[in-house]
This record gives sequence, structure tokens and C-alpha cells, in this order.
Amino acid sequence: MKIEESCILVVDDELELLEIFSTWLGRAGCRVITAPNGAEALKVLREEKIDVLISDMRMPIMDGATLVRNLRQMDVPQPKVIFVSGFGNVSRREIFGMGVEALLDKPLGRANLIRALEQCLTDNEQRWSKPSPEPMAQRVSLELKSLEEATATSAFNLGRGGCCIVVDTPLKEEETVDLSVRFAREGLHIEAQGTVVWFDDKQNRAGVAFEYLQPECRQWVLRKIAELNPKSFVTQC
Amino acid sequence: MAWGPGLLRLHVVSELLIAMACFLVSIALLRVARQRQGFRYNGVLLCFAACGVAFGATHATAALELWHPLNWVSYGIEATTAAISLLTLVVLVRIMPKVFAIPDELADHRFRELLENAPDAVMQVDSQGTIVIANRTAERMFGYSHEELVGSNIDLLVPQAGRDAHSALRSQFMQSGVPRLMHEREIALHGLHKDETEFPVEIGLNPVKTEAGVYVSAIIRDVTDRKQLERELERERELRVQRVEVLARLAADLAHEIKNPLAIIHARACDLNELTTHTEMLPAVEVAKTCDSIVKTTERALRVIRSVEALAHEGSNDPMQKANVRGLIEQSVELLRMRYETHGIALETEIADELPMVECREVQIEQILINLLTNAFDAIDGSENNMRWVKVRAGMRPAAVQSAGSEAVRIEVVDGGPGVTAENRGRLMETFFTTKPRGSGIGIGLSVSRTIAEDHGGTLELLDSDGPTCFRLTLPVLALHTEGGPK
Repeated sequence: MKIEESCILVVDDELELLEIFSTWLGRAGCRVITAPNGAEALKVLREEKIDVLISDMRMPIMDGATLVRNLRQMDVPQPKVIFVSGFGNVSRREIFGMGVEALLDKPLGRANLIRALEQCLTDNEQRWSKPSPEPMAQRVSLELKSLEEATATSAFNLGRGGCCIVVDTPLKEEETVDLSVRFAREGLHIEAQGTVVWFDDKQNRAGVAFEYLQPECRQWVLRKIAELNPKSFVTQC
Repeated sequence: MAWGPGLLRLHVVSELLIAMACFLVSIALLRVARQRQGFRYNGVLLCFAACGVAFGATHATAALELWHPLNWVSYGIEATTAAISLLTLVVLVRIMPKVFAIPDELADHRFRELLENAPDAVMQVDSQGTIVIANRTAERMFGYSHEELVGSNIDLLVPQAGRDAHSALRSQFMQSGVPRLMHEREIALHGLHKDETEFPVEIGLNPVKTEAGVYVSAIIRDVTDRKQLERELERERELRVQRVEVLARLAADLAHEIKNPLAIIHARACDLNELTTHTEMLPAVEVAKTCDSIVKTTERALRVIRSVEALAHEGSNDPMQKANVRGLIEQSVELLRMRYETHGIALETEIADELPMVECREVQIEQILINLLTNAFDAIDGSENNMRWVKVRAGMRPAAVQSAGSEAVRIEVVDGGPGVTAENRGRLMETFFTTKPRGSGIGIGLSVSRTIAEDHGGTLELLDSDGPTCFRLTLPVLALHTEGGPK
């Protein structure tokens, strides 16, 4: 979807920020609706078809996490969600687990907001076709027996926009990573570039959002996602 | 010299009396040897007794010889006496060093005093558990007289719950015969006082093997004070952990509250920057508006930081001092009275008589009260149709919810305002959470107040009721050092 055709709902209790964000988005051509808290946002979501929800996390009356949990229960076309926050009482792992696609920190520049929005509006196939010109900071290789077994043992879980994996060496959040996963039984090899969105140093588990997928595995991953239809963006495991 | 009848009689009577005395001395010595327990030198007593018999016999024969010459018998007895005397001399010389080593009575007395007044209870029990020795400290510690203790079974001093385990341990110890400390993990180490109260003890055991069987020496230490100190230390440690948690929360909240203004300033500055790259002539109105926003937002961020600084530091380094609750309340009320009066809000106090002094940092407690009174004022003044009254109540926490040494005073601030909604209830104590319009309150009062209350070992809570809003501050009478001396 083109950004000019999209309808965006922005939620923040900081009215001045709300005004700034809607000016930015309006200038980019979006239709913008604003709400000062989660409860007001839910009212809008019931009546309007929203493509992307951009929400603060900490707000009076209803916070961002509660808003998204409520939204997931509702029988409406589900918008993509971007969280903008300086602080959250919910872990990053949970945030991506509830299907949030991006977590942006305050203060936040216009370019970053628009880039995140554009990425949200781009479909997965297109999104994962452009390799990054920069080298990745880390490399992770996994040799697994089969997807079925890996899913059952939580060694590899696929979400709508990435996966949860178990690693030997610790990773850092926001770090870029070259990911190579081989499934022996299927004879399948996923080769991807991604970003670590969360890391649990006790379980050595990491959530990785895909940024690029090699053409050989891209269709397979897209089919698998369509088949599994996971709620989470990156699974919590 | 001629033997006159008088002289003769004197001689015979004397000899017989000497003989009788010698025999009696021997009998007395034999009795001592038989009945005096723990005397290690019975050998020499027996020798002296034999000497006595021999001397007695010598003198008896000397008297009898006047009538019958008993040459062989009398010389035989003399020879035997000589032999026994020599033997006695040898025995005596041999044990002399040992006899010198026997402590004299004075030293023995000193030693007894040392034992009697030792800081720990010292007792000895026989293999059946009967107490044979108990020092004065033991009498004091357990509240029994010396007569009551000696001869009683040691179980008298063990709480009912631990008696079986104690007996089992005692016989086990008797068999092993190795000195050791009784461990807490084996048995709850408590002593039972005569007045039925229990107190924690530490016990050292030592077996004593004697001819009469095995005895056990026990050194018992009352550790009430130490346990109390340990509990206090533990509590202090917990409070410190709690404080760190509260501070971490405060820091996170502060970060959030600062990041919002920063986000605005950042966004405005970026916009300005972009404006300069796109147009040569800057639209003056636009620039002025943006700059104004930046200045205002910066000031807002500063206000947040200043209020945290002020609230977090004021009075926090003061020493804890005993303070009068009534005085604290009246001072705080006085500060706000004018403000209440000019807005037509009644402010009453209801303070119980004879409240104890409370150990606290006065400035900080007043800070809490002022904060609560200000909130109540804002709640009433900020909305219509309210009962325009605020009441400050103070009293002891009911005895049912407090144990000895944990007496606490409750101060409640009740208002006739609209009350706190269910959804705000849970978040009210969060730092920066506020129901007041933006700009009039930044919402750190309650959370800092709670931190202060917790720092004093107390609590600050919003009572869960349908009635008027009531915030309750509970403060322990003694901040951290609870009383409760040894029994």
C-alpha cells in the first residue's frame, strides 16, 4: 500500500507530540486520526478502517499494551502496530509477541517515523527482496533436524515478520545478524538478514526480525507464514 | 625410780586410753576412706588406719605387760608397727607432690565463683538427664532456684515440642562422646523459662567420663538479643532492597517523563532545520511558534527534574528523632489552613490522646502530610458538588494487627471529594501518574511520599472503601530498632 492511501491512527497523551506527528504524517500524504489514550483509540478502531496504529505505551486511562490486547480481541480488520515510547512496563519480547511490528524510541525524528511506516505498509515479499549493503554485525548458523521438531522444541519458531531462535553466543538488541538455518529433513536452507529485536540472556533465546531473505527460501517462508498465520510478529517462544 | 601404785595406775590408764584413741582414729579413717567419694588418696588413709591399729596394739600390750610378760607378742607387735610406719612414710612421701597439687579451699571458692557468674548457663547432667550441677546464671536464665534445678530432669528446660527430639539427641550424644555444638538444624534450640516463655539458645556439649559414669557438661547461651539483632539487620537489608527497587522505578518514571519533552523539543528543532533547507525566507510566525514551544517544553522538563531533586533530598539526611505526632499534624495543618479557609473548605483534626512519640524524620513526615492535604484540597476544589471538608485522624494501630514491639501509629487524611475512580486506584502511587490537569501537578508527590513512608518502615495506602477517600499513613513507633530485651 502506498503511504498516500493509508489511514493512520496516532495515540499519545502528550497533545503537542500528537500534533507534531499528525503534521508530519499529513505532510507525507496520509489520512491521520488522533486519540489521547487507549480507550479513545478503541472507539476510533471500532468505526474506522485503520491501516497502521502508531501508539505511545504509557498513557492514562488505557496504556498501549492494553489497547493492542483489546484490539486483538476485536472483530475488525487488524491494523499493523508501531509503538513509540521512552519507557514501557511491558518487555520487548511481549511487545513483538503481541504482533507489534516496530518499537521506536523517543525522541524520534520525522525520517525514522516515515521509514517505519513505509516498511509497515510494504508487503513482506517486497520488504524482504532488498539486501542490506552494510555487512551484518553478527552471524548465526543453526543446523536443525526438521521444522516440525524445531517448532515443537521451540528451537525455531516462525512469526509474521521474523523468528525466535536459540543461540550459543549472546546477541545484543538492535544488532544486525546474518542468519542461516538448515532443516535436514526438508532439505531447506533459510538464509536471511535480520535485526535482533529482543534477547533473553538467561535462556539464550533471541527474537530476530527479517530484513532480507535469499530468493531460494523467500517463497517457502512466505507460504509457511500464510499457512501458520501466526499472531505474533516475532514469536515469544 | 620405784613404781608406786599411783604411778602404776596412771601408766596403765594412759596406755589403754592411747590404745583406744588409736583404734578409734583408725575406724574414723576407714569410714572416711569408704564414704568420701572422689578422694583419690584412700591408700594413704588405709596406711594411717593400719598405723593406728598397730600403735594401739603396741600401747595395749605395754599396759598388759605389767601383769603378764608378753615378750614375743609385744616385740612382734612393735616390729609390725615399725614396718607399717615405714610403709606409711614411703606412701606419704610418694603422694606428697600430688597432695600439694590439690587446690586449696580459697582457690576452689574462686573457681566456683567464676563458674557461678559465667555469662552463660553452665550445667552438668548425668546419663539419665538429671541435673547435677547448675550455676547461678542457669538459675537466672530459666527462673528456677538452685534446689529446683539440681535433681530435676533437663527436659524441664526444653520446650514441649522439642522434648522427644532432645532426648533422642542426648542418648545419641552419650554414645558418641564427642564434644560439639548442638545445631539448629537438628532441633529448634529454645529454652523453656519457668514462666512458660521460650527463648532462643545456643548449646555447647562436652562429655565428662568419671568412675561414676558419663556426665555431660552443657554451656547454654541465651541468644535472644543476637537473634533480635539479626532480624533487625535482615529487615534493614530488605528495606534497602525495597528502596533500591523504588529508586529504580523512580528513575524509569523520570526517564519517561523527560523523554516526552525531549521528543517535542527534538521534533520542533528538526522541523526548524528542515524549514531552513527548503525556503530562503523563513516564515516568521512559524519560527516564533516553534521556538516558543521549545522554550516552554524545556522549562517543563526542568520543572520535573527540580521537583524530583527537591522532594528526594529534603530531610533525607536528618537523623531519626522521636517526634510528637500531634505536633507534626498541627504544624502541617497550620501551613495549609489559610488556603483551606479562603476556599471555604473545613479542615479538622481528630487526634487520639496519649499517642507515643514516633521515631522519624520530622521534615519528611510533614512533607507526606502536606502532600496528602494538598491532594485532598485539589480534589475538592477541582470539582463541583463536593462535601467541602477534610479531616486528619490519628490513633494507634489496633492491637489485633500488631505484635509486641511493632506498635505503630496511623495517620489518616480523609476528604469529602469525589473519590478515586477504580481504574486510577491501582496507578495512583506510580511516579508521575496524575489526575490533575497537565501543568498543575506532575504526579510525584504520592510516590515519593510512599518511598519516605517505606523508608521509615511504614506504609502509605489508599483505603479500599466506598466511603470518602482515605489515605492512611502507618508509621512504626520505633523506626528500625525494636525493643525486646532478654528475659
